[in-house]
Amino acid sequence: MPEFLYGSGDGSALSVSRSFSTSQKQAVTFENVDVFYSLFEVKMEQALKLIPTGLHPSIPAVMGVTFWHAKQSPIGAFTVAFVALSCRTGIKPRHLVLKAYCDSERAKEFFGERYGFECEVAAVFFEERYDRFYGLVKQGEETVLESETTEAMPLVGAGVAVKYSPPLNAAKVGPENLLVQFEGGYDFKRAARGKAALKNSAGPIQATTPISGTHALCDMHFLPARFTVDIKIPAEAGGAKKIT
Amino acid sequence: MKFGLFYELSTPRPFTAENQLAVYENAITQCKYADEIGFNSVWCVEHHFLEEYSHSSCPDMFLTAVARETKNVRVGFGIGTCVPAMHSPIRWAEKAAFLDLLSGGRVEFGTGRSSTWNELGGFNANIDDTKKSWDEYCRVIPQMWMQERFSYEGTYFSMPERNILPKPMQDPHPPMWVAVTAPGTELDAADRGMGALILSIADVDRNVERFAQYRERIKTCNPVGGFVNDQIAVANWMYCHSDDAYAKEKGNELIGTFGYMAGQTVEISEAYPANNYSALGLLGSLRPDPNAPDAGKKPPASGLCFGDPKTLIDTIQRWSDAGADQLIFMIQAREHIPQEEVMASLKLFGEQVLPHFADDTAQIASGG
Repeated sequence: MPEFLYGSGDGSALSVSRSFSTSQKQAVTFENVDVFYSLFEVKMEQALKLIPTGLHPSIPAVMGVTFWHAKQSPIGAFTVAFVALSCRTGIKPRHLVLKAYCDSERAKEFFGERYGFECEVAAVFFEERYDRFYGLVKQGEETVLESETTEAMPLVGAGVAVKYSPPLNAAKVGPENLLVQFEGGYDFKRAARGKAALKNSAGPIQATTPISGTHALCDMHFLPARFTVDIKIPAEAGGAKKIT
Repeated sequence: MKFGLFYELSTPRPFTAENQLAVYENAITQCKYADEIGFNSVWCVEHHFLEEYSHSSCPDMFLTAVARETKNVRVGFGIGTCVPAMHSPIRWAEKAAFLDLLSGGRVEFGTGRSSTWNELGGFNANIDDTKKSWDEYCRVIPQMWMQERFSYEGTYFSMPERNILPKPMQDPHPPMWVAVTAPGTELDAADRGMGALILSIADVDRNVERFAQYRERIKTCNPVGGFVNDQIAVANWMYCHSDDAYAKEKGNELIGTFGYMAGQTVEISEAYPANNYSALGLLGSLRPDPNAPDAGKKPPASGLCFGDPKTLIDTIQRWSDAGADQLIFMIQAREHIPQEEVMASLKLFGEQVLPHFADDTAQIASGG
């Protein structure tokens, strides 16, 4: 057998307290959601320790910081933020969620029930300022996440789009601890890319090199979850399974 | 139809000197044999930092080794990256001319601009400008070969007057090519009078219109060099075995291995949204997402050369009818198939497939 590059984590860094039901939910669309998404390189050594043994890291190791912000939606106004690590369940990129926050109980319930997000309720902010896109998460007086993108340039022509790697959330599915894959669709109204900076992150990984920061205004389609992933079984051996 | 081999020089872990050398030596052995049985060309990629997927950071060195071990095969840069953070165009002109002399005038010069964050990020390149710098490089490199003394004031490259040495053996210079992955790049190639090196492997039928558009467009080109290279070469996979089903099974294993390796890289289009990278590069385009909503609906590409000799002859004929001039084959992925089986596949191809296209190979032997 050839030697593969897998994570070496035992999954203990992942929160798996939430139960996830695989019963199918209706697709819903939230209009005019701000998606603020930044990517940073991280040390491979750190990434491998956090990625479970069934998943491959991306090369180079990459972390993503995402904010979803809706001024109004069927679940009211909300802002969600999460920190994730790029990985592969198969041959396409996914983002293993290490930490998630939201600012409302309804959003916590919605994203948890549909996709297994284990959000901590916190003060979560997104702002589009004259010179930057800015995201902030505070728990009490402590800033636990702060990200900004400056010098943004609009994406134009055929490039008015951002490719988001689907988040994976650890959750209890029946008796098992699995990863639940987020299923979303995006209709882009505008998009911009600029210089990303991670000013604060209290999570278990530290950013090294910024890659890009993007903001997009989208209609977001929340589709039924379709896949779960076993964190211990390699993807090549059937670790990713379709929800039936 | 002409035939070539295409090398990524993918390497299994652990990355020991022995493993690495075996990859290079096996590839050179394959090239020597391909030369003997009538293949037309050997192409080698340039990639950096792509663990497992490609340990081919110095294609000029590999191609020089191949050239010195062979007599007839042409040796192609597939491609040389035209990005200032990675290379000066002077160095490309020098290296290609040097190899052209050492190979007796057998160089093909492919150009491109990279499509991964691994590479462009690793060199701290200006990603937004790669297409523009590629365009400038394509125009100055032939002039460096053709003009005794060359000077230039440009956007991404400038130099005072110098004699760039050596000059190539081929007169006026080696054929120029463009790596074509994103739709429309074949027209960029045509506009510049350059060959289209098609690196997005797909159905034959889906390329018919693309090839026709290239042929039409190149009639009115403004060539960047001293002549028009109006050839279409298509990268493909090949595994030939007398048992058709076994060959297809092995072929699927090759593609699966390739997909695993390519899947670990970070494509520019996934990491750094840019107007000049709206389409996936070769790596991305070759890794269909099994989790995608439309997964399972798309049939596998029909133009892959996996099968017994009859299957391969039929498939190659379809590519020929579509307008391709060359098929350049990947025949290995991370040493997944034992070297003796790769050589047996080449042998069977040489004995039972190549003769069906003998008129073309005769042209190759005469340099046509």
